[in-house]
Amino acid sequence: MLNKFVGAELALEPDAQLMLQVRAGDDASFDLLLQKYRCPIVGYLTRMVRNQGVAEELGQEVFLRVYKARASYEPSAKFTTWLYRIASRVALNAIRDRKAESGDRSLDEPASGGQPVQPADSRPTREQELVAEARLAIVRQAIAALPNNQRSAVLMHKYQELDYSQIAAALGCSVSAVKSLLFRAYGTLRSRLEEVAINQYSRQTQVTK
Amino acid sequence: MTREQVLDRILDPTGPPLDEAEQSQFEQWLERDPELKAMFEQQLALFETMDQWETPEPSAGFDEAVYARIRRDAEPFWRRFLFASWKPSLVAGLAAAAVLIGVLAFDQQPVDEPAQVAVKSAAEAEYYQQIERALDDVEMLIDFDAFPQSSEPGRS
Repeated sequence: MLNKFVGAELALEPDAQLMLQVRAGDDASFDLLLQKYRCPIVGYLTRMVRNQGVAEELGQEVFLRVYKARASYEPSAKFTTWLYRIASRVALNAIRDRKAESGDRSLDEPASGGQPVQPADSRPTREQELVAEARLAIVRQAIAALPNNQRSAVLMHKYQELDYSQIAAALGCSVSAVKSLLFRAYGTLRSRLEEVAINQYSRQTQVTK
Repeated sequence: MTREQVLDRILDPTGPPLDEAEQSQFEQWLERDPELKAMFEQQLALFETMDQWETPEPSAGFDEAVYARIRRDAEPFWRRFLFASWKPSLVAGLAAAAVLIGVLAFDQQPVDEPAQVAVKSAAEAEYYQQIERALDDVEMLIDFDAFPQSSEPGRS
């Protein structure tokens, strides 16, 4: 029995071990987790709310909740799954609250590359850059326009590299529901990008004529 | 490999690695099914575009802000209330409310209408006339008392 328990403890991933140490009162372990996850969490939140300042405030809230929940932490799932569940809840609550406050206005801040950029330079390399920027702007807008659960699923899948079961645990739904969310979300994004490609192609052919 | 598995793989290319046989089947599916092939290429283009979306690092004071929030959260409620960052705005709000109440109270004091003023001054004039008449009467009585009493009934 003891061996089984020790084996389970040893099998724990390092982050879960650190969190158990935080639970035991070791604040240095919390600092290690903060160092490791502040960039991914703030990055995830920035892509969710598209505002760096708001994302940092939400990131602080996420780590505060992690610290407050230390006493009840149980390593039943991967630490990242637990962490992104908290982050997703914080982000979705903030989006919902902001929508309620501002009548469905997004949290978008004017970001460089936030608007499609018109080519101003005829040199091919610069043109390629601008096209890439414009495509990225379109994709960002399309991601922002996705329903909240689809957006969370796409961002966790693409940028945080969480697998289907982790995303399902973070969003509180089944793996098949996550597959469905991702299938629909990526379908929307592909078609949006395809429209841009078709428009660019038709513009280019008009210019060459 | 089923078509559904191929679809899964297209959407999740970073999933568990395919063995040689699976990889071969995957490629065969793409050759046979133009719809899947188009989807595969579009998905790759989408991922390539999404890869360019970088986010800035958190600001330098991020960790300190986290620890400050943790410290603040650990403080007792009354202390958080007293030293809350919104306290200055609360004080300003209370001051504004006091001024507003003062202004409203001043506005609600009764203002005499012209007709009321006329009635009031007529009443005051009447009051003063009555006092004057009363004083005249008192003066007259004093004068009357000043005459010597010649006889009192029953004394003579």
